[in-house]
Amino acid sequence: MANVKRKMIKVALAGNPNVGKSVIFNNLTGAHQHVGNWPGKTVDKKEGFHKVDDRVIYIVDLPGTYSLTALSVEEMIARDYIIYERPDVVVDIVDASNLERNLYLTMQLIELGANVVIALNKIDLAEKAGMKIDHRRLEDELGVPVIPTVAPKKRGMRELVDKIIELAEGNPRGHGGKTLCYEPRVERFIERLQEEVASREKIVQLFNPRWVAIKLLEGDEDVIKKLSEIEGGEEVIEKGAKLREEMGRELGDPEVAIADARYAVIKGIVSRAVGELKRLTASDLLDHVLLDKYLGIPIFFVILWWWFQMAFIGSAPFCDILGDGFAALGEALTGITGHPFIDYLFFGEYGIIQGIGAVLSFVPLIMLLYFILALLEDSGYMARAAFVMEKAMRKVGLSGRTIIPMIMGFGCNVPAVYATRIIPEEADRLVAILTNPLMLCGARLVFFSAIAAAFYGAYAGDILFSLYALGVILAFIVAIILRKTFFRRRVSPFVLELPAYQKPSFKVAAVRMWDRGSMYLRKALGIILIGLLIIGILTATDAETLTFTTDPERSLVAALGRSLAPIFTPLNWDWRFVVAMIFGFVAKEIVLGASAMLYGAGEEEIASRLASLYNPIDMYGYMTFILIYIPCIVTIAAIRQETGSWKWTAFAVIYGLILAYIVNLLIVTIGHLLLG
Amino acid sequence: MTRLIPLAFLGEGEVGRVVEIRAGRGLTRRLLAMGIAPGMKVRVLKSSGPGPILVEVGQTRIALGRGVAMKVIVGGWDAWPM
Amino acid sequence: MSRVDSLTYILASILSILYPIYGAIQFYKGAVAWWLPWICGEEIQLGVKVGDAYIPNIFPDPFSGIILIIIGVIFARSIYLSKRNPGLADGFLFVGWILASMMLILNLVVLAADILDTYYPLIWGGEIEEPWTLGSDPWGISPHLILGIIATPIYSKIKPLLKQLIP
Repeated sequence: MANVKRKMIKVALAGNPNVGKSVIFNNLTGAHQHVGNWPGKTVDKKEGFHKVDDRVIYIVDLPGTYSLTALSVEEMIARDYIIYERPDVVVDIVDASNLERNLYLTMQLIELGANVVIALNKIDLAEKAGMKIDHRRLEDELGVPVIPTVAPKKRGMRELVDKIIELAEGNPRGHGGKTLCYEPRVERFIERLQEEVASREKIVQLFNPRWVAIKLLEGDEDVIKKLSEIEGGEEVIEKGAKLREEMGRELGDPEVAIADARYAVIKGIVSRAVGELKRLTASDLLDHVLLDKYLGIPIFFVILWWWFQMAFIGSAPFCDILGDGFAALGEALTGITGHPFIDYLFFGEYGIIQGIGAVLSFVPLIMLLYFILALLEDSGYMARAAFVMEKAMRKVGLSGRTIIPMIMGFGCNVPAVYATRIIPEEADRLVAILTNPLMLCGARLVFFSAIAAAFYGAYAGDILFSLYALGVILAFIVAIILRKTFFRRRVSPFVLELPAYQKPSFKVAAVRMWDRGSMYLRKALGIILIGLLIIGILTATDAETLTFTTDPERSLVAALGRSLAPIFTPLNWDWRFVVAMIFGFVAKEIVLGASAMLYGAGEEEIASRLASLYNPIDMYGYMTFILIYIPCIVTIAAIRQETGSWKWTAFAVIYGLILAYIVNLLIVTIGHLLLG
Repeated sequence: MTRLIPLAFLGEGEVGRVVEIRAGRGLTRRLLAMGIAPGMKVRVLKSSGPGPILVEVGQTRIALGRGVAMKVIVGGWDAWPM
Repeated sequence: MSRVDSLTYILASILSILYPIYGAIQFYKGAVAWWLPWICGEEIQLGVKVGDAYIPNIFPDPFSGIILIIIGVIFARSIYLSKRNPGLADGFLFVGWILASMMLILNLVVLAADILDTYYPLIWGGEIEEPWTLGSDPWGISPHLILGIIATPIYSKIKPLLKQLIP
């Protein structure tokens, strides 16, 4: 037969966060995967394929959730997918070393009526903790197949796939495991309501009656909404409300009563299926020290310092090699096209090649920063860091988890803004996003390090550090102000799980590093290239005659700069500062190259040239302006995407400009007052 | 008759059994789903001075802000057989 | 007390004194060099002179100094707890050893990077400005390396803990 049609099996992956779901997803789909967005939401949707014989298994990775309530976007996505898309099989990935908590979700999946297969992951960790889990007994108790897996070593994958196929083809959709009954007092209410639901045909077609009954007793708003649109739904809703009230009078808050009952069932199952539990001492000990009242924060600073030193000093030679390489390339290609305009634009001393080179020469630094951060995250330490910093960060209105995006911001603000996704509360997240651009990123470092060396000699390191510190302090101040004005809601509750310590995987870290660092790379090769081109053209075009010129003073940009200069005279700016600053809109790295071009100096000499022309105080003021004013275009795009609102994006841009002007003014005025 | 106190008042090393959660629906659900539910045994690992406390529920370690810990009512904080 | 234990506690005691001393000197030198150059920035060193370099070389850096002091405090804490609560003392030893080893690796990375930075032009037949020597290196063999080496034998004491986390 020439054209065999492949049978498709639809599978969804569900489970708590941090259980190894992504690893299993990658194991099964390999290169055949695609990341997009769930329609209308800012949550990632990962889907992929796994081909076996004549079958295609289409896999969707549902967002990690702890339960299936109607409260969060992730949970709604997960349960709606299971209800409406009706996957043939739902693989519930359960962390064996956290059994009770994970089974809470499992029970809800079974109640939902999904066809569940449990992948009992991290059984190696459970064994390490002294737990012996009888997975066959677990299968009996839950009524669904249980496959032990160790995802990073790919153990159990074959058996999992086999079981998926077996279930999909043998067991028609909609059959969950056996019915797990709650304690009689609760079960009574469920059964009464279930009967009522089961008698309504239209509802039964779409949902599992038992699940509907339980949800109504819990008071699930989304189920109520969905039911109201179905024939017979209103009556069921009414009956549900009555029973819920009755239950409330008898047993107290129905939702808590049901959760209580669920956990009772889980405890029973676990006690029968799990053997000896022993204490994990090494982890306890580590936490005792790392979270110590007095030493916790100092230890965090030790690790922070180490991380910076490793990244900066370790990457330095590679950055130098790249820088030299591009400089040589530029020189070698000079004059190659024979057309003076193109030559000047691309290969000239301040041409595109040089510009790209300046940017790319920072890539080793960014990559190393992110690689080490990923190792720290993987080891489990960063959650402890968030814990230890929580109290201090709260005082400035930020959550402890903001630490990670803030640190990432020192490399590049773009992935840092995306990283704010780990902050659960919206108010906290917005504040974190809006203050992140104040973290001195690698791009601004390009400009600052060159200037600092020439202007301040021995104090250069000092000056640079002061700029970093200024950024952080301003971030705290802005956060406090935002909290007092726009975000005056009450402090968000702090609940954070501390994952088990583990040996960080270099492979995982490399992937994470590439994920985040490549954003910087793409920015360089995309935006900056275009930006440099435009700048180059504008600078090489005479303002009056519109022809090629090598004299920047006569160019279009000069005209622009001169016209705007009056605004910046209180800051002691030259019109060239204005132009360089405008070019910084595109990418902050360009400020140095633009200055070089405008002064007619090479990138090597521009700093010393400026030192001979300008006052150190004024220069410091200018540097703080560059530090604070608007985020670069790519960061703005990231902010727009993550906040989903033009209002906040505009706010970020505007407050940056205003704050920058004020700070610059203060520094220049006070500085001259004190030092003449 | 066991005395009931907020989790925030338990000392380091003490164990209690969750009796009630007095919080809004959102927080309650989050706590329930993470394993802090009525009937569950909770052991306090770290609780010195102001700042979040660290507890152990089952095999999971969870950090809770003081405010949150004030809303979790526990009782029977003598050794609970497991 | 077993041999491993006594060796460990001797080392920890030595380190709980050396780390803070080197840290304090480094902080002082750093503060003077960076912020208060009018105070006599004496070339204080506490080591052996080998050629044109000191071992260990205390380079001026106030932050590095603070870091060393903190590590010293951790070892001191472990000594303090060794009598009352040996279990907890092990925890501090563990963290102390981890941090000491991290600093050791850092120093090695710094040296490697500096050497590479000096000699990379050779890759394409370029010229070197100045050959690299231990004395001219900004870090050199600093307390981070030496004290990290001294801390290494503690590994035998904390090995069971490490095995628990990484089977």
